[in-house]
Amino acid sequence: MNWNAWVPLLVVISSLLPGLIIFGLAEDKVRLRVALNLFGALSKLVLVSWMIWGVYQGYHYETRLPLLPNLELVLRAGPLALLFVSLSTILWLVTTVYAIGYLEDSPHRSRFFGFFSLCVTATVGVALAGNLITFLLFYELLTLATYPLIVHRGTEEARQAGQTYLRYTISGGALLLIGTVWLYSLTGTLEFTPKGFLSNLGEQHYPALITIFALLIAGLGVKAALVPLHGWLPKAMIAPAPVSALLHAVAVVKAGAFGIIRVVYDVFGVEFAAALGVLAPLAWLAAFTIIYGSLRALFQDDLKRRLAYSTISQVSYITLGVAIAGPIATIGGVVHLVHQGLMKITLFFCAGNLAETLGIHKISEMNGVGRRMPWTMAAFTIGAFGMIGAPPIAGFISKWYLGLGALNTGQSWVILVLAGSSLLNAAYFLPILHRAWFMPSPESWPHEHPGEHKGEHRDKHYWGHKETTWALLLPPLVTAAMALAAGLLVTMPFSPLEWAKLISVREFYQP
Amino acid sequence: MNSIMNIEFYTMTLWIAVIWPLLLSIPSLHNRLPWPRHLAIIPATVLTVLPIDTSMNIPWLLYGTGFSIDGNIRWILGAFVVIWFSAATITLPSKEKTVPSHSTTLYLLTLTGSLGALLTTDLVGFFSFSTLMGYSFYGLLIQNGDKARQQAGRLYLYFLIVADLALFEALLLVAFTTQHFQYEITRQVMTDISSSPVYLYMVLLGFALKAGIWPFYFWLTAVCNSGSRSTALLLLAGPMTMSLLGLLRWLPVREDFYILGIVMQLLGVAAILHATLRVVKRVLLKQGMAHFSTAWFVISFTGLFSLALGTAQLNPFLWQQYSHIVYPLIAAFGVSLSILILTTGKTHRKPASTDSAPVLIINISHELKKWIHATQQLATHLKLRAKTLWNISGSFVIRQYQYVSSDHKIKLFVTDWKINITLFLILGLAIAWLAN
Repeated sequence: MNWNAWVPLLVVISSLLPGLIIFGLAEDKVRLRVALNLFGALSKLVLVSWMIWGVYQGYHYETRLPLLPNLELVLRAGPLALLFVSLSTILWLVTTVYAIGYLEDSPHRSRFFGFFSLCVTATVGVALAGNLITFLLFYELLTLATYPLIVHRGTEEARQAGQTYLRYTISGGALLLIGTVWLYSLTGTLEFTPKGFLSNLGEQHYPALITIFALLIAGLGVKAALVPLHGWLPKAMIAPAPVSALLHAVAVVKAGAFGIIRVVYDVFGVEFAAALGVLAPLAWLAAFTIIYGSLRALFQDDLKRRLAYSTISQVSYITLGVAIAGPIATIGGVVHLVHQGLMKITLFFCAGNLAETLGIHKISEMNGVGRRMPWTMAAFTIGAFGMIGAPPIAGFISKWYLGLGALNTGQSWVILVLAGSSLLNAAYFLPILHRAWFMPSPESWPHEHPGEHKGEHRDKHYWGHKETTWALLLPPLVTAAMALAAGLLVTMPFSPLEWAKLISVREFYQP
Repeated sequence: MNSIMNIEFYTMTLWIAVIWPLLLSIPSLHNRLPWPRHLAIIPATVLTVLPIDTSMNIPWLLYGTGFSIDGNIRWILGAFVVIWFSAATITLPSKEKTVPSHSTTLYLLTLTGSLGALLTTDLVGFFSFSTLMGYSFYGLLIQNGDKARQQAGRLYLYFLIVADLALFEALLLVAFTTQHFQYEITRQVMTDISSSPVYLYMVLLGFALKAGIWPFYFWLTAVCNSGSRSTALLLLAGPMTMSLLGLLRWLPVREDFYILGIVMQLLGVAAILHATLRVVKRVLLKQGMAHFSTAWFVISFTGLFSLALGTAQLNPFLWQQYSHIVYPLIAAFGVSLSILILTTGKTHRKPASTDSAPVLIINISHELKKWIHATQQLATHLKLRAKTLWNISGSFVIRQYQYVSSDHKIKLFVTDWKINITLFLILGLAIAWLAN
């Protein structure tokens, strides 16, 4: 029996099975639920590590299951797929720990963690999809699995945010479906292929291909939050912090951005797409989104809302890197998939800690919070500086390769976009840090958790008289350290950058 | 054997000199130690007094950075040790005052940035450490500060962000040309390519902003006039010296760049004239000279430095003859100025904005904010219209979702969602079965 043919499926099942079991658990089965969650996350991590090692050694991991006549459900672990799977797997483990701490004593935890696991299952499926139909199935499953997480609080605001999310994503899914069917009718295949599978089509099909490209990008652009398809994202920040972290860093927006990479590289082929003339408009749209998102972020007082607009801006770096259509920019775009995830999840964890521990939701309430929660704010500071692109944090590396890629392909205007974006990032992140570290603290916080007043009886889970519980504090510290390490140890083997280089080499230089 | 051990010891000291203050910057560590600010300088002091030139490469750090020390760097390191020691001593806690923990953290991070930038052997390392130093110094500048220091800090921050952007663009141009970022290689490579002029002016702009070279001196006078001796001292041992050193390390010296040479000379002359006139005016009006003289001495020196570097661009031969005295000169300037700052004592605090330009810059930023607010309101208005259109043209599926969700049965709906997912999975299985 060839085990390699089943490993990708096992990776998907490793979160699906615990998720389905968790749905059936009673609310009070806390330990069993935690054990299942952690078992799923750890087993997935082991399987993914195995695949990374194997792919590096030249092994091939592919699962093929019949789906429709001439169409199979294909799960394949290539370098690009593994980059995204690794990100999802590692961050899922961290987010699970965080969610366990965040949702302690709150209702409907079985429901939450069940959908949480399904969400990651769908993301991993999106990452490992070996053809467009498999991608589409998991992409839609992701929509369905995420909706209950967004409306988890059950408030009217959450319900409306959920509706908006559904409007956008179902419309996007429909466009993606139309594009996929049209593409299949033209080519008879949907198999992801390095350098694409469309370059053999005659010139008479070019107008149709351009329209298909627009449909696919529009469908994927909804989740990737490209302007004007981004409206759902700032509203979805109403969700609990672990869900926001999942939406912004691990699953939803990343699935959209990853889909764009797949379409450009493995459906159209980057050179053919450039020849069709569809990449330049995509680059302009991404550039516009970068600036627009940053400008909107500048004037948000709600912390999570500001972070949401920041996501809109930052995720478009990935699209921009792809659309620049050069080997170095590809590295920048692809590596930002990981880097943005690490930095943004840190920021959302910290925002969650502030809300959960002190009741802080607005930036105007953050005066002096750095002295009250120094570790949380230290992690936030690393994440924020990374987003600005300050060295040696991960964001610096992404911007470096995007800028260099732009110079390499003679598109110097991208440098101006990057500079403008960095300037705006500084303008909306530095005031937060200034408030947190250098403004005097208020006499009381908006809604301080009763467990951590000095001198009073403390909840046993709280870390001495310090800031918050271990379960809430450790995840942002870990992800901040990872963001720092991804920048500092950038040339180490298996670093995200080295992996992105491998992807670029296979895309651009292999025959 | 002994010599090998010695070399390893020197190399380790080089590494520890940078890492030690970084470690000490962790509050839980320095709060448990006596005199952490003094302790942090010990490895650097050892490095200064050891007479061995040594270097180390760290291939896995950034793009393969390294640290080294030679006779030139030792001059500046020596001056650094003196200045940092003085700054640490005048900020020692006493019965009347305590030093807040975050202040020590910022102090030690600034020290780490300065030492790292001084000892690093490549442009990326220099940029990384100087960024750490810059933002930490900003923190030191504004913490517990009055309005004057806040204003100085804000100006410094504006300049720092623009400077970092300019230097980042310069770095990209280097990376576009060569894969090596060592100072010597960069200076050689960047002399003979078409993008050199952009590189040169980006470097000049970046470091002129960071060093406070005329006409970007506003924040510098504000810092000196703010009345904090320790901050003024750290300004010397941090941003200013490092930026002058950056100009020396990043800028190639070649007579082809005569326009750059003339620009630098003009900046230098303007700075010296400006400073001289301001001092003369003050003397004639019989106004106090305490902190004022420090600020204008600093501006004159940066002007002199710019003038010298500009002359070097026009006459590289002259530069080759006298370049070896530049490092001792910078060191001597740092030490003498620190003595000046220490002897002027703690005096009155003056409003920082003796010049109108800083106020102008801040006002422009406020106006810009107002304008963007107005644009945002317009955007909200347009968005409302778009939303109305969207609601009119909503699809059937969306209406179904609205119908399901609008019944305020969200709890039940979400519970039922599990069934939907199960149905979805069953559907997938059914398709697979049918396909077979």
